[in-house]
Amino acid sequence: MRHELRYGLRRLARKGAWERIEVERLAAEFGLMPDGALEVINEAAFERCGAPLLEGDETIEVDGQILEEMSA
Amino acid sequence: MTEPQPGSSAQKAIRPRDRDAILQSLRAGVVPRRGQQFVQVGRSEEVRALLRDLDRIADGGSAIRFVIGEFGSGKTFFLFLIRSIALEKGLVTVHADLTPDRRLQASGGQARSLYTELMANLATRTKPDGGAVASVVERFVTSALQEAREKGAAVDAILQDRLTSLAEMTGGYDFAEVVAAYWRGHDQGNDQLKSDAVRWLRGEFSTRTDARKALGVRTIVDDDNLYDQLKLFSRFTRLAGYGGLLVCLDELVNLYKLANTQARSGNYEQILRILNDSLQGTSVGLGFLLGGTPEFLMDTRRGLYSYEALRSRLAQNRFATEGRKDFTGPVLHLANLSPEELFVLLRNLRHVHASGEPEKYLLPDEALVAFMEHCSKRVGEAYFRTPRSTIRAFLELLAVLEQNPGAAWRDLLGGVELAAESNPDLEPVPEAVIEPTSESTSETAIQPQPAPAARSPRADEDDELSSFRL
Repeated sequence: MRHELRYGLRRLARKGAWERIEVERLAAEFGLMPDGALEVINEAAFERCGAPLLEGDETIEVDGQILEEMSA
Repeated sequence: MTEPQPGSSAQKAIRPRDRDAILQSLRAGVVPRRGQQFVQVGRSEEVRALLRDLDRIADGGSAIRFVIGEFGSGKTFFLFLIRSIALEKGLVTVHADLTPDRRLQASGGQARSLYTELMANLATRTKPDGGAVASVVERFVTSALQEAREKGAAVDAILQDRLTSLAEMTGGYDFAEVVAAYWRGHDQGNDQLKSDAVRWLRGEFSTRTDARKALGVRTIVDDDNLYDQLKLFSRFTRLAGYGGLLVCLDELVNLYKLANTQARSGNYEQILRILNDSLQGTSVGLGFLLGGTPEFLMDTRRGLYSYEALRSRLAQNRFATEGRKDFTGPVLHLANLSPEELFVLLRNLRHVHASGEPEKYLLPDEALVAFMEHCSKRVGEAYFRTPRSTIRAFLELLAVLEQNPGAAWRDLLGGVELAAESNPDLEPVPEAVIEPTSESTSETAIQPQPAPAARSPRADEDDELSSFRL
């Protein structure tokens, strides 16, 4: 994964759930597109752990177990 | 006894989200949107054949399959199962049921309506419930952004370079323009432009004038270019980093029901075009799964076999008789479930209900056998041939046992009520007279025909087959 996404991932790890608007702001901070970033992060989660890391539309939840596996 | 299916692990833990989706859908009599692999039984050869198709699509090839089965035989379930495997394999999927208002070919907006429905259901592995058009576009742009940063190049130039292959295809120039407009919208903080670009890609612009004002393009997705747009989108998914596009169309019996010969032929012609492209391998990363009943395929007056070019291409392998099977042709006949397979299905349901933990099973195997015997007495062999009612009754039984820990299954079994299912396509057509639409002079017939007494002489004149009723 590219470094912007890795930094984004670290920031996402700080909370269990994010409002959509917060994810949009976070993506903008890193110069990323929110849906594109979520898609790439979840694809990486699927490749590595067989399940998505981030789920939801309005509220985006972070799967703690997957996060642990991805951070390992 | 049926062997476990590929991917249907009987021992795997089941996530609460999957469990609830499966149980709630099946209790309501509909196919679950996720977790089908935990329930699927039998049809291992058919699944393997489709897995090969999916690999070919992901490899940049093409595929087409007509999934043919009787009412209640599990076509829709099978299509959903393959769709979820396709997502797992990194393909993008779209799906829709054909209806009188959604067709492959039309002149009154019905083909665009089908495209809009397909795009609304566009799904990726990370967004399996649909609504993923923006995600696909953003994944494409995200990778272009990264390349631009690495090379120190302008994003516009990278995008243009990547979209060149699309611009060479029919309608591709405007498609590429719209994707570029999405990027501009993002870059300039113009949410309206982004939203308009997604609306265009979803086929939601109804006039060229509006599209031109909003995006500066001359074309829109309309009845004439549905298939070309799907081809463009499949190429685009590959450019975005996915394997390709799987298009699942169900309820094709609705084409068979078209009473107007011209309308029906137009749709069959479109199917022929798709079939030819798929068989000749001219489509790139694009597959079609079409679900229909045996009449839709084989009826020589109104089915696909009524169209000679399709009949010759779809005819059964003459050596695949007397139990010999061929899973390589474009037509896949789904056999009905056997009692043994239903037994495995009930075991799978018990397993899902217990979240994949055998120690939580609410019923022993003996109870499953007794349940099947009870169903057999009530509705005969329909209990395993069209198992929807059986599944619902079984899940209701499990729900009662779960919520009433003192209840004994033997006491409850006698009270299980179920009736054989009837095919809605064979039920009498309602007598309501339908008002003709603007295109009704040429294409009325998809609507239910009035009963003979109420039918107007004009309806008879419209087509020699307009009196046909299922």
